[in-house]
Amino acid sequence: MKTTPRSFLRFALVLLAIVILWEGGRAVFNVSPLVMPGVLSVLSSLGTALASGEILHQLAFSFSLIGMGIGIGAGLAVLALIIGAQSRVAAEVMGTVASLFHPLPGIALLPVVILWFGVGKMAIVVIIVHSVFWPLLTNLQAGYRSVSPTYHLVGRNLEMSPTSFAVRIAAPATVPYILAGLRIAWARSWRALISAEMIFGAVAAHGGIGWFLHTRRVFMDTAGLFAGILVVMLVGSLVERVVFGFVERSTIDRWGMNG
Amino acid sequence: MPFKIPNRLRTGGVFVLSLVIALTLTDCSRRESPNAPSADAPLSTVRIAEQFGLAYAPLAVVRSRGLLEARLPGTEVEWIQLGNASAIREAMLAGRLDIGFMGIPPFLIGADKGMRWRVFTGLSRAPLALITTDPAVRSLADLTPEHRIALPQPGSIQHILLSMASQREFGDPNRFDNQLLTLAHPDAMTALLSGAGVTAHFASPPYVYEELAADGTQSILSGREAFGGLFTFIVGVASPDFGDDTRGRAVLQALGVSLAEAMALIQQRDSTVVAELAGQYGVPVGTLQIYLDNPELIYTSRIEGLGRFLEVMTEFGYLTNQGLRLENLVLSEEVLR
Repeated sequence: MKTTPRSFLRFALVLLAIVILWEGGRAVFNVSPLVMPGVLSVLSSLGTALASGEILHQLAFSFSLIGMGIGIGAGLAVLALIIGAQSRVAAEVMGTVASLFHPLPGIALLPVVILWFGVGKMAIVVIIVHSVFWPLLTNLQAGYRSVSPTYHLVGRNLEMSPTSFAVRIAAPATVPYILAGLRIAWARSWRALISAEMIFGAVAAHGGIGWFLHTRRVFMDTAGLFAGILVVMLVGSLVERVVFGFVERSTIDRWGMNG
Repeated sequence: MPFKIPNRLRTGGVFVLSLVIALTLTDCSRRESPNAPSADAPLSTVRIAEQFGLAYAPLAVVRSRGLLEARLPGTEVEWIQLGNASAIREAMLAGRLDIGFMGIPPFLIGADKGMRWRVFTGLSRAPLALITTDPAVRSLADLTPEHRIALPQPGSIQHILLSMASQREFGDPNRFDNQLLTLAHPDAMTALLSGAGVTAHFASPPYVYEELAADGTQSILSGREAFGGLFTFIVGVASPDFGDDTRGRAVLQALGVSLAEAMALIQQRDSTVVAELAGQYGVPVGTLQIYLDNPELIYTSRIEGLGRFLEVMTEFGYLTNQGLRLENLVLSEEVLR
């Protein structure tokens, strides 16, 4: 998805329509600001949270957990792929396990995670690893299977070692699948993280963006709550469009692999 | 994209969708007084929210015995179980709830933000305690920044009590704020007793009993010590404007009488009532008897400590509205006497 002036204009128009409807609805139905705060008070809450550095600090903390979770999850997925490539039985067992665990929301595991890993940072990382590992593994396997037999023959013709084949042919050929897997992994880990932080998170020093939402809720700061929701939406969409967009443009788009 | 929707159609779709969303949202708030005062007929329904815990036992008795329904012929009573005071507050703002029960601090936070809800009765006083499994922790002073303290949520009565104790001992109400962990009581108990990273848990009954009965646990602070006296743990709150008209007042009055009857039944240890409660809380009858015999667990409509909570929460900066007056926070000042 490219950001053209046209798409930017469309985005701005949609935003404007939402603001008009929001404020119009508030005025027409005389809604209490405790239920629907004014756009201006939401923006001023957002400004305060940004200026104090609070929300940035919490975002940084959230991202450090996601980074750790995706790192561990991706490492494990590659390891599992390699093991699966060595033996058909292992691959089949893993496929069955994945079909059971892939649909399980990370947050459903929370009570068990508390029992096994306690209530610290570790527990949230474990939940993120869970939400990252299965979609990545499934995509990696699909990508690996999709490597055309011709490529295998080419590799054999060039007398490439298995490692060299994996690094120079199989890996680049699998990039679209890896990226698709990472996209799902990111979306799932972002959701899992925020749910987990809203259920348990430490105040201030160790809190993330989900914790920010939770404290606004308990102290009934509705404008702050909407400011937090805005941040969650903007960050999610920025990573999706800007980060993944950039990576795709500089890899598979450039290589002409994006169908 | 293989299938392309014409641009004009797409923009229209987005517009209509946003309109629907906005209207759905605002629709909730329009029902703030679903039982508009029109006739002298009784309200068709009344919706009451309770939470889980031994402190809510009289409500459980009113519900299971149908005590309120018997006093309000023609009115349907809807009982709702909610997980925390924030959910109750939100349900009331959405106009989906008439009466809720909660701790005093979450009530004050709502009032501070301009919610015109009022306390109409007290429900219980209860033994609260900060319980630890760490033998090296014998008092608040032994808690280091690495220790984690579990409580239901910031702004809860447990959090305010901890702040009060920490203000008194260390001159700093926020001393422990960076090491709090918000967990529902059952999860907190599991985490504490399984050694899963929780050093101490600020518990209420029945968890306080269960935790103290476990091996190697001790209380390092009681609610009473923290508060510096007696205080009401749970109060009954009427949603904004509820109770201003005769119909709402009739409901609150009936509920008050029903609660008094339930409290008397518990006080007399009525065997059917005790057996019912034991079933609800999942403990043997004998255990429930012991729980109820605790002299600090008292069911009464009298409210204590509302003024003091108002004072300290203002001092600590949790309340900022200088216009809050005790007499505006209760439906009738009788409950304060």
